Amino acid sequence: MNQRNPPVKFLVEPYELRKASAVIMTAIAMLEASHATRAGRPLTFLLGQAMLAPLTRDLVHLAGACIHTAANYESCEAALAPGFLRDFDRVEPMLIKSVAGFALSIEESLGGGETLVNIFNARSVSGKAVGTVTDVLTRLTEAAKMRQIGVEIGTGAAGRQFTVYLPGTQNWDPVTGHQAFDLTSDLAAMSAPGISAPERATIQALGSLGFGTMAGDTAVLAGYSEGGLVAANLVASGAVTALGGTVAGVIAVGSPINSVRLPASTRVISLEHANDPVTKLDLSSKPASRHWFTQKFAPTGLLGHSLEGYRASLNASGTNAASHLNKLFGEMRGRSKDSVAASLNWFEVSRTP
Amino acid sequence: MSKLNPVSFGLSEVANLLLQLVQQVPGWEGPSKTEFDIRLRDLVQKLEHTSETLDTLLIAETVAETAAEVALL
Repeated sequence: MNQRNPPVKFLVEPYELRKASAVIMTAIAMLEASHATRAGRPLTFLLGQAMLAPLTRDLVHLAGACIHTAANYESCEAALAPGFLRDFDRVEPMLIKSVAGFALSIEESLGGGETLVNIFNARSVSGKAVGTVTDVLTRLTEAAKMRQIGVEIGTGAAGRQFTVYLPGTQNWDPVTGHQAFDLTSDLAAMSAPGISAPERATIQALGSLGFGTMAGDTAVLAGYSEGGLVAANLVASGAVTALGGTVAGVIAVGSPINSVRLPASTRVISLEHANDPVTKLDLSSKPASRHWFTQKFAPTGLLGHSLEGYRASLNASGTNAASHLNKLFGEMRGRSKDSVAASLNWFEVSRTP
Repeated sequence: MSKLNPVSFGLSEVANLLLQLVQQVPGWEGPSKTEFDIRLRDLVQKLEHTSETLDTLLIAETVAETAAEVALL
């Protein structure tokens, strides 16, 4: 008899998958903390270490599979079942991600945590597209002052060129409020790509401007501090390319992005002060990619993290350093630094309680 | 997400947290979810077994240590 199998439902919300991976990472952090309490009993501690190590490894693999699945879901759900557990080793255990996930879960247990997010196109102005890295830092300063996400749209030889400007953390209150760039989204962004409110807001902003709907659409994602991490996460999660366009590169200023797993072809410009503690939060060194350039500046100020400090260091870095950065920026955008007309859209972002 | 107590937790709390993922990942169906559930349930089972073993060992080690201290007195 010719029996037809019932249709298989393929449903998933990538955000939920990434959240699941954060929960697993949290579980790993709990395992580690729980095991540490046995340190006073050496026999139990050693045996526990031997028994828990493979379980922890499997959990990390499972979390990695969730992230990998979420990233690939839109394009190939049909191939997921056999491939689900294949690429475990692409995500390695990173303590900071576990800790961030754990802290986020504590926030959630206290009634906080990540929320839905809304955007509002507050202002659109015409002007000239940025041409240098200094211009990018000027735009990032505007974004920080206005507490908004900026999206510039210029026109290049191959198509439209979008440049996204993402501010740093605006609110350090551990209680989640209306501000999307806050401690909660910091923890979410550190724990895994695809979770934080600013990432989802940026995708909404790009989507509302039709990014990816025309051939040749490309985007440069620039951010300061948390904004830089959000920019890198947006590339790692595949959320930007899922809109249809391509990613031209990431510019991160004072951001802990070294541990973010970006495609090897992603062009990255990272600016770091030697005494900026925020850039060291990833506990990782610069990835070995020929497309990844980190400009190290000499220590400045008390913490070396202010955006003004980065602008001053860039201005004082000398012609050679600035020229090199601008050359890399030009390569990222696929055209020279000659100014072209552009529109600049500013988006207010707020959490939905 | 579960209401975690950040101060006091053990392997069974971790197992409970993970089990919630089997039941509470809304909007995820299909072969990948089935595979995920199988792997996660297997891990939770191993975690519970490990928890029992370590609890027993911890008690035994504590008793042995106490007995040694008493013997020394």
